[in-house]
Amino acid sequence: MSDGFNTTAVVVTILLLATTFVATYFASRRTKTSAEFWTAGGGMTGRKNGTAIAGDFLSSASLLGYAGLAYLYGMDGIVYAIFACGIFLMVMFLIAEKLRNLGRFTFADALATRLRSGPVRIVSAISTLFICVFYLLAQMVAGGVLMEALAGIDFSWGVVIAAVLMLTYVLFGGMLATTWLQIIKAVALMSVVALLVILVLIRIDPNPLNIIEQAVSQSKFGDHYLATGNSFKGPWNIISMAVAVTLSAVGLPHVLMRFFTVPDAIEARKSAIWAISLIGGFNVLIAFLGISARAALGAGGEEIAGKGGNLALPALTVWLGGGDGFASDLLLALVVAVSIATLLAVSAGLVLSASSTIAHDLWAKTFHRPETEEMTVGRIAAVALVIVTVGVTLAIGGTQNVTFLATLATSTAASANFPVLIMTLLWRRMRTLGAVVGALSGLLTALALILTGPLVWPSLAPLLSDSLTTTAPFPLAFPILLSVPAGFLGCIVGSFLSREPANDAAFDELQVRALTGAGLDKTKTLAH
Amino acid sequence: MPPTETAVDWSRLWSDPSMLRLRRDRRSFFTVAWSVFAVAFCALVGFAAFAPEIIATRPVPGLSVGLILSLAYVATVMSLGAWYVRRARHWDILAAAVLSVPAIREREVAGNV
Repeated sequence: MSDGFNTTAVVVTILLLATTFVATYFASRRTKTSAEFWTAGGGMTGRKNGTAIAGDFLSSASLLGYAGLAYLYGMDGIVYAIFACGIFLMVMFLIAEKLRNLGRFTFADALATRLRSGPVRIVSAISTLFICVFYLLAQMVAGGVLMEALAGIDFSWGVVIAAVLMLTYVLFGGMLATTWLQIIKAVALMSVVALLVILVLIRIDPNPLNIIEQAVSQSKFGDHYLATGNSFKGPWNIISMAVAVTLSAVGLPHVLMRFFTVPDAIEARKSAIWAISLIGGFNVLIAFLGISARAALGAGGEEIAGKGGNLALPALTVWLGGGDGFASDLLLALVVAVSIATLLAVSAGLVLSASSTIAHDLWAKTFHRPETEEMTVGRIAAVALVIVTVGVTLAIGGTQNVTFLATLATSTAASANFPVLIMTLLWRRMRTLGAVVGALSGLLTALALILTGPLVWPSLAPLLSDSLTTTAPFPLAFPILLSVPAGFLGCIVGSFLSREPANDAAFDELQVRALTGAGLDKTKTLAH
Repeated sequence: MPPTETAVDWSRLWSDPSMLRLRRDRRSFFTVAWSVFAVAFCALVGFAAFAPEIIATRPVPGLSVGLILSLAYVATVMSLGAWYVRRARHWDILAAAVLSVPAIREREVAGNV
């Protein structure tokens, strides 16, 4: 957007972050045990946790990305945002309550109630680290680019500053600070989006339908602006996108971990319904803002909006503020501040999740070290992870296409973790070997298909390009239609090959506990 | 995980009449809820994937079939979520009945000491 250093944006960002640091300070004084560090002591209310979960998903990727897609391609961007509304219905229906009833810190706790702890924890640690590192890389690259484009901070410095800030939340405040960061950010984001929608209605037209008509007339696609297929070429790309988006959260470790921060199943489902409502409401508004950007900026805005359309929303913001002047500066600064806070919050959650699997699943549960050491090990792991990620981020630089990193992370989560969790919860024949084979086959299939797919293959014809042709051996950007079945198949084949004796009692125990919460630690109290 | 070795016959509990009531009620909810979701999902994906031109037609100026389907999908998802939360209150009561079966209550007490 601006070429130089954007003072207003930096000041507003610092103000927003200052409030989150106050929250971190208070959180650090209340974070003494590992339960407090990993899961805020299980004392979050459903409403707070739901807002934090929504915060995880209302990321800068959705704020800038959905708006940009809707701006560039119309209906394709809208359906993308709309399918994302179903994410937490899946989480709610399939796992939220059961996971809360069975687990403590990581989802491997739930698996270990009926399968052999060692192998299951090692394999889920592998998939968790894989997912978190790639997701983190995507966040860091996007963060550096964003800071450079919007605040005028050099890419490398942007990445380092983001890493240091994010580590501060993790090291000192643990899950409590990370959750509060998400909540503050989510509220700020919603306020900004609501403000922008109101301004759009005032400045362009009070009737949203007229705005849509204007957008259509401004588009190079004409009436086809409201048809699908402008960016997703062919029916299978749309179907795989819809399935991938809908299943994207069911296996993401940092999202699953959030369900351990509430005391019981009742609060777990309250979290889910809050997340569904907030994400649903905001995706609709964000898609509408993308359309409004088309109506306001017209075709002339395409140059400002950038190739992926990521800067369409900032451009609309400047336009709403009246072009140059303090009003536009301030509005833009709000969008920048919220985007940066989002990025920090999501990264902090990822680092926390990755270090929890190292400290809890590996250190404490597989190598049988005392649980009191978990927090120290977790902090060391967090620092090491961030150093590695920053190194890799600086090495690959800001020109890297980050879509494939994020797609890799969510597709792997859905292909490696989701089948194993579902089969362990529901299938009596499931064995430890099935979990190991299922997770690995899901992970490797997703990896292989993305590496041979259009996001990576030379002469990139990525997801969002206008070109129909791709040289990639595998034609779909989202591998999920094949890799999720591969994960399920791995579970089944592994279980049938296993010589492990049937343990019906353990499965019955898991089912009873999953549905009733029997044996759940009832000593936790809600923090208000 | 089990804090004490107080034996609980989980298999018997799983087929206890109180548990069967909970299981039946959940199954009847999820049968309907998944069907409704499947219809909504397939309708939106189906039109988006195979009928882009129908998606683009506008029965009312500014309001296309695609936008109507999208809003209907969001409304369906939210209603299913709200319905789940309401129905789950009933499951809490049924689950409490399961937990009051003598075998498990002893263990609960032992576990929380």
